[in-house]
Amino acid sequence: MVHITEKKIIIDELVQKAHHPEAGALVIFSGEARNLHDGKSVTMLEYEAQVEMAEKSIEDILELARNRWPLKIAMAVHRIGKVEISEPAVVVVTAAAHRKEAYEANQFIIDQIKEHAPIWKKESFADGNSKWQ
Amino acid sequence: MEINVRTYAALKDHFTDSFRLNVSQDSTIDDMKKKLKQIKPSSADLLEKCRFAINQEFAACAARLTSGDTIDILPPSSGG
Repeated sequence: MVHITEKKIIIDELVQKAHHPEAGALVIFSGEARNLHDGKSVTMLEYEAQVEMAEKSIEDILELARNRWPLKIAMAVHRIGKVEISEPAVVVVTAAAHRKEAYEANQFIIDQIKEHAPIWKKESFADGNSKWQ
Repeated sequence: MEINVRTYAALKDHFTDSFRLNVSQDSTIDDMKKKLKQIKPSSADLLEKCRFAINQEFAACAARLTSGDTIDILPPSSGG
């Protein structure tokens, strides 16, 4: 699976691939472009990645999660390039027999991606400035 | 010897995104970091927070460089 994409993430398409007959719980996290940062109006986000390393990093994180929880499905996709307000920048989908492990694994995966995957966000503000976070 | 350096995100406020750098034989990641700080003192604080990769494998500060290596300098992640 490709974990880094320049294309708009279509959540429904991911969910279609995440249904599993042995999974009674499916959890979706969508990290979306927000129009406010520290009280400043944000007009757009832009993401950059070291693509090859980010792909491997996310695959390693998913593998860690699969080893820690009995997951039927674990997927994560992060967008790079320009992301408009309210569009998904990163989506994590987990499915398991029961909701507890699906929720826990989903949170673990997004936390690990944010901390470790070599991906960076640039915010463009309404005042014309922009800043790498 | 010459190595290839690639920078990302906020580091591009200090360096171009890809450049060649001359370093002495047996240089380490740490030696390269010192050299970059001399070239661009304004990058020093950020460089201290970065991770480094040699040919796309994360590398410690003591790792030795080889001629032709590609070094990715990775600022703290801010994805999501």
